[in-house]
Amino acid sequence: MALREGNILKKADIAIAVCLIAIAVLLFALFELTVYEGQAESVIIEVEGKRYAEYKISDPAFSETVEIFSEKGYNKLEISGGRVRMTEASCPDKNDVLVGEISKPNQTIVCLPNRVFVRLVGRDAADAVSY
Amino acid sequence: MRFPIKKLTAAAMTVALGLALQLIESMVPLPINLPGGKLGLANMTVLAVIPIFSPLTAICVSLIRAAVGSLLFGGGISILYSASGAVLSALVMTGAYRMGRIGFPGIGMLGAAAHNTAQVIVAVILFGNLYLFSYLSVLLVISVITGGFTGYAVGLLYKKGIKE
Repeated sequence: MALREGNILKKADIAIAVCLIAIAVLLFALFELTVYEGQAESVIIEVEGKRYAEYKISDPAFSETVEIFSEKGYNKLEISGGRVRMTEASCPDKNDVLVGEISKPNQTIVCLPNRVFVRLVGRDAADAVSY
Repeated sequence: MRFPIKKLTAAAMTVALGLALQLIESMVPLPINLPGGKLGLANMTVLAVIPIFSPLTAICVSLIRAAVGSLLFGGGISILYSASGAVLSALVMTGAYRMGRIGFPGIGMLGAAAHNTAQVIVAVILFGNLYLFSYLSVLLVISVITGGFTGYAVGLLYKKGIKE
């Protein structure tokens, strides 16, 4: 099958691009409008799949710096004014730090290399789709 | 059983090329954000051989490249993400190619999207949290861009008539 004729860019390619972007937008809207509703009540930190720490963050005056020492490395989480963000990480990519701050229920900060999983939990703390 | 030496060599060279591209792209400090958002240059090698190799060979090339790449450049768990992404990506690209009518940029986009989707699925399974799927939004848009460009590059390769 020779794709060597004609234009490199075909009509179908544009259609695919549009479809993929549409799916991305739909996913985004879905999460923003339904799952991330309201303010988060507490933050749960899981390391290597096990619960490491949990803090109630609903009080805007509450602030805390959590240092997470895992088998794989080090992460530093800052909680203040009902918002959570990762300020330091030992992983090479620092994707978790780049995420910035999260404040809505079900939002997450993940550090894959260090197996650190931070998630915010809303009022119905019996909670989120975990299994 | 006889192994065609020429085919074996070609496949091995493709893997090596993919690894080299992976190394190069890891040295570019561009990676902007989010887990798994890479340039995906190694996909170019897989895409380039899909018209030449059998589907099984193409998938194997992709898998081996990802596995070795993970051993060389990544840490521990990354092999799971890379391998799953590479296999699904090669599978999808082969299927897309055989359907006809989809050009190289489109196949590249689908390949990149498949790669990222597989990785997110693995992350969701490992962390047990469905909300990780939200990362897919940004990753899919990145897939369109990087996949489109790498696909186009392979298209150029074929246009210029360079074979094997």
